[in-house]
Amino acid sequence: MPAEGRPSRERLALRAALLRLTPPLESVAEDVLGVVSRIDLVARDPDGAVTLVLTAGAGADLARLAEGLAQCAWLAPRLSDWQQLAPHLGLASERGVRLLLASTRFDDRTRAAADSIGHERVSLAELLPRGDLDLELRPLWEAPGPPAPRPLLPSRRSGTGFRTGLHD
Amino acid sequence: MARELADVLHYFLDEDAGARGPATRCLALVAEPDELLGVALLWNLAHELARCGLSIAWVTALSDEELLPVDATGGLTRLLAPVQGLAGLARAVREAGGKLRATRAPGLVLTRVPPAWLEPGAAATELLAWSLLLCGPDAEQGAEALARGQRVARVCPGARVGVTLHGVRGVREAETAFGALARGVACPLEGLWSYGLLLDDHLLYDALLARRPASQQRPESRAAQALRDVARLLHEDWQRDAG
Repeated sequence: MPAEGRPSRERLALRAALLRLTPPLESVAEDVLGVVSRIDLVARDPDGAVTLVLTAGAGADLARLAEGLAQCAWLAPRLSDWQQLAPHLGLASERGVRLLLASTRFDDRTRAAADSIGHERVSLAELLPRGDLDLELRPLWEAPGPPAPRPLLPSRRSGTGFRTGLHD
Repeated sequence: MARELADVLHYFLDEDAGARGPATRCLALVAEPDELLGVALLWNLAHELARCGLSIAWVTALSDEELLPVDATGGLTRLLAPVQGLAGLARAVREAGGKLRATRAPGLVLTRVPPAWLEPGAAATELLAWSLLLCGPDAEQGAEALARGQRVARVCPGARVGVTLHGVRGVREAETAFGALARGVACPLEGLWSYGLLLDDHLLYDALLARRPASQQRPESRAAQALRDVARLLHEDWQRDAG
């Protein structure tokens, strides 16, 4: 892979940190050109729910929150296409897109704005460097509880009576 | 495993990009690694379902399965997944499902899951959403099957759990045994799906040893007829789910 196409050290560390979250987030696409600017990373949780991940430098978190919401709005209607075109990714397109904004520090206005939007749509995580090669993401709020079980297969609840085509 | 957008770009450029991919499911047989009937059933079922027109990917995480023969010309491929534990197997199944979808043929991933691997917390929805148990006619065997079904439901709420009866003398005994099982269903298990019965189980082993599926080796035997019937029920449900 050419050097310019290689993921940066920071992004590799971010990938690993996302996998350590609860629930873990697995990167499915990175450095995606979204609306005007690029999305750092798109990830999925074990149930296929999609999270758009943006990082923000110090002092840029409020602007990145607004940008993240715009990118979520851009990505959400495209998810069903992604799911059709890359079904092995197992994206739960019907569940929309959640934003995870990671920053070393959050302005109080960013926290208030994220709070008012709702934690099911936006979450904030402190980005804590761990040496040169690693970092930790510390969510400011607990992840929302697991959603109610969705039907996995049609008519799953009914079971069946005994079935066979054989006769004694 | 991280994927760059470039990794999926070819899907976007596919000339048939607007078409929905073919349906693919996984059927997981929950059985102990040393339950030879489970191996024999899955091996025979893989060939039988391939004959029904499904592309079969048999994901084998248990080492003894590496030695089993597969008919490479019959739409059946075996994918070795040297993993230990539910999360690794779930990932292997997901990848196998992706490979099947890429062939654009209707497909089914088959695999065995040891009950000891059924620990809550693993992301195993695709792996366990359709699970199959083997159960004998005795009350003790029934209790064990129900316990396994409950473990599946704890790990994968809403899973469809099916049962194939074995060790029975005929249809009536199997029907009685299934009725007793169904009455024993309790939360979090939401119901049991019947997938027929096996007769003359030993012929499934014989087929395995002879490297010829029972339906080819002794097509008129009760074992082959019962096996075809189990495959038919599974295939019908697969078709119904695929809509």
